[in-house]
Amino acid sequence: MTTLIEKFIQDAPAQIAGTGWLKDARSAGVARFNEVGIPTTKDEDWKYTNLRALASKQFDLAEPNVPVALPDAMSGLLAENDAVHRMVFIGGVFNDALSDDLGHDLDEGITIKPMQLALEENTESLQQAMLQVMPEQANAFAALNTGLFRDGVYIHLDEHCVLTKPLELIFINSGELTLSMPRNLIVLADGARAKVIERQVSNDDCTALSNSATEIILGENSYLDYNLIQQQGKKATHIGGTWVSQAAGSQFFTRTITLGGQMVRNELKVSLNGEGAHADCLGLYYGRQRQHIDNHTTIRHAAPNCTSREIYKGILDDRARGVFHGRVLVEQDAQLTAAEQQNKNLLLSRDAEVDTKPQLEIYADDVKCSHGATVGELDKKQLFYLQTRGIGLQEAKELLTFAFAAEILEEIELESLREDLKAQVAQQMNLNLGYES
Amino acid sequence: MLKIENLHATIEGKAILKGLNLEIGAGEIHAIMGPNGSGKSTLAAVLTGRDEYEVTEGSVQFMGKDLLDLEPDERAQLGLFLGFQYPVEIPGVSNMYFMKAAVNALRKGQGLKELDAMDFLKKVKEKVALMEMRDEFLHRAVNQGFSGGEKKRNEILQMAMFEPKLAILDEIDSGLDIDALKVVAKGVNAQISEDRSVLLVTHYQRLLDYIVPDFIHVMSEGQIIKSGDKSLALELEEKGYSWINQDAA
Repeated sequence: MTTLIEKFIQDAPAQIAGTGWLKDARSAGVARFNEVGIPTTKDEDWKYTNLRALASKQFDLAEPNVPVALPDAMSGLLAENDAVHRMVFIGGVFNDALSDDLGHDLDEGITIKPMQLALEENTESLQQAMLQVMPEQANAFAALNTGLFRDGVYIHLDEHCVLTKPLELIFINSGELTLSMPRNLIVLADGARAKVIERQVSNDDCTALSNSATEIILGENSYLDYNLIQQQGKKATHIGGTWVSQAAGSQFFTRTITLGGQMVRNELKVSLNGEGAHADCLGLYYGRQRQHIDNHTTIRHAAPNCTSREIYKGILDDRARGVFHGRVLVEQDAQLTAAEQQNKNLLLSRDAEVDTKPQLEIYADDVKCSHGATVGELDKKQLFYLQTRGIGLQEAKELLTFAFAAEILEEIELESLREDLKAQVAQQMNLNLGYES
Repeated sequence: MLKIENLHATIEGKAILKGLNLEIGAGEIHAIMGPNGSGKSTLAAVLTGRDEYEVTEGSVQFMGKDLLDLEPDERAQLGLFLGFQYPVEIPGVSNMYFMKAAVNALRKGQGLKELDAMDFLKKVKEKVALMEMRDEFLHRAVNQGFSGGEKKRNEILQMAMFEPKLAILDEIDSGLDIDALKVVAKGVNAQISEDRSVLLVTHYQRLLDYIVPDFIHVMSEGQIIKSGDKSLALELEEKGYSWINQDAA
């Protein structure tokens, strides 16, 4: 990593390397990364996710101008689609040719542009928002991202602006031992509303490491629907962090769906800072072969009368391993908090494994909180019911496994995304559902 | 159609059925009555193949085959249907998808072609109307959040879709108010035909006012101890089950 960092600092164009605040932030990021280094399993937050293999590999910064190589199943991803605003990133860098021209298409008060461009313009609103949610003491990967990111998306909605079409961000990774580090910033002013889909994709040969970081600032009574879809190839590594700050009355809906990748870590840190805010965080992970999927979340209630719902479900087959670490923190001032947290896991093979660690930490006295975790197999009564309807045992098992996943997928607000993911999950389970209901 | 001879079954080593005999012909409606714990529901469970029960003696022939030799899904494919006393909720599977999967599995088992989407839809809408259900039920997860009455209607809806040779309806009347009972009974009656038989398992005579059986059997201690026609139900209603027990003793 060290040579890579040196190379970056040498080669980066001035507007990316930054001046003033950005230059300072980058230096601090690199310094922090050098100080803490890639975490080991001795670190409590990384106890179940071993990155030793990563540390010894020589990564090189991803090239943005490479031909796109997508697996067949995803070839439709870049087809024309009027229902969304699309932005495509290759190796973490915006690709103009594959993206929609958003310049004329957006209503007044709505800014959506590549981060690189936003940095060049260096507006006051960007400066005010950047690095406001990600803590200085964030983990090594977040620090590295701050130090070396080249591009990403910058979204800013003025007060009461509504993004009428969902914004679809497609991050394509490719190549051998490439490193991409997209950096995203989403700011919704009071009363603004938006829906975002973020897809991380690569093909099965790709051995890239994508290290993405997203900061989200939600103003009073704003609404964000944020869907993170992880569909990287079999050898790819993804480490991503999302930091969210919510003002009073804001609503944050997030769906984290992890289907691909060899090693995936999704961090989600939500802070409910204003009264009456709601965070709705759902996740699904489906691991097969030797996949390792780690969801690491913190939901912090820092103001009274906020609600949060967190449900993560995992299906682990073959020798796959899942990790769920969910912490709900209710601070002293956060009276009348209502927080629900659940983690349910289905193990389909003897060699599959899950480590789950749900945590509640409550410092207020008038709250309603629940949490729980289960690890289990399919329900025998349900299997029998299906069998008495003529459905064979194997098919019944597949159907119930799909149903376990569908419970989360059904909660995706955007219909086409929901149906598309249901079809994909069914396909990965070798189900011939022809799902139409 | 169905011939049960000297059937003995246990659960966790405890004998529940102790030498039960019953024969049901095509197009006949039979009712099995009896006090709680007499083994009525066990009989339904054993016939459909629930694996917690062990058959220790006796035989069951259904449609000319040894029923006890078959998996639950194979029994269904032969034309056996169980309307559950407590239908299971299956979150994440829409009722529509579930019924389509089942109809096609049954057809496949019978060597028939899958029903195409249009034909399926037409049929299911017709049956939903018969059961006085809203279309919305098709799009909800199987039985999830259904009231007791809605679950029972959904069972009979399935019976109408699957067109079994023999439908065993286990306490299909339990937990129903009189209006719901009438709808359920109407659904069952609409399906009675020369080649479809029904076995009602019930605790109460009330159901038999709406679905009129050809034969009534009284069960006690894991055996059928008395059989007769519809009038037997009235006698039971009047005198209670203790009368039968004394009579048999």
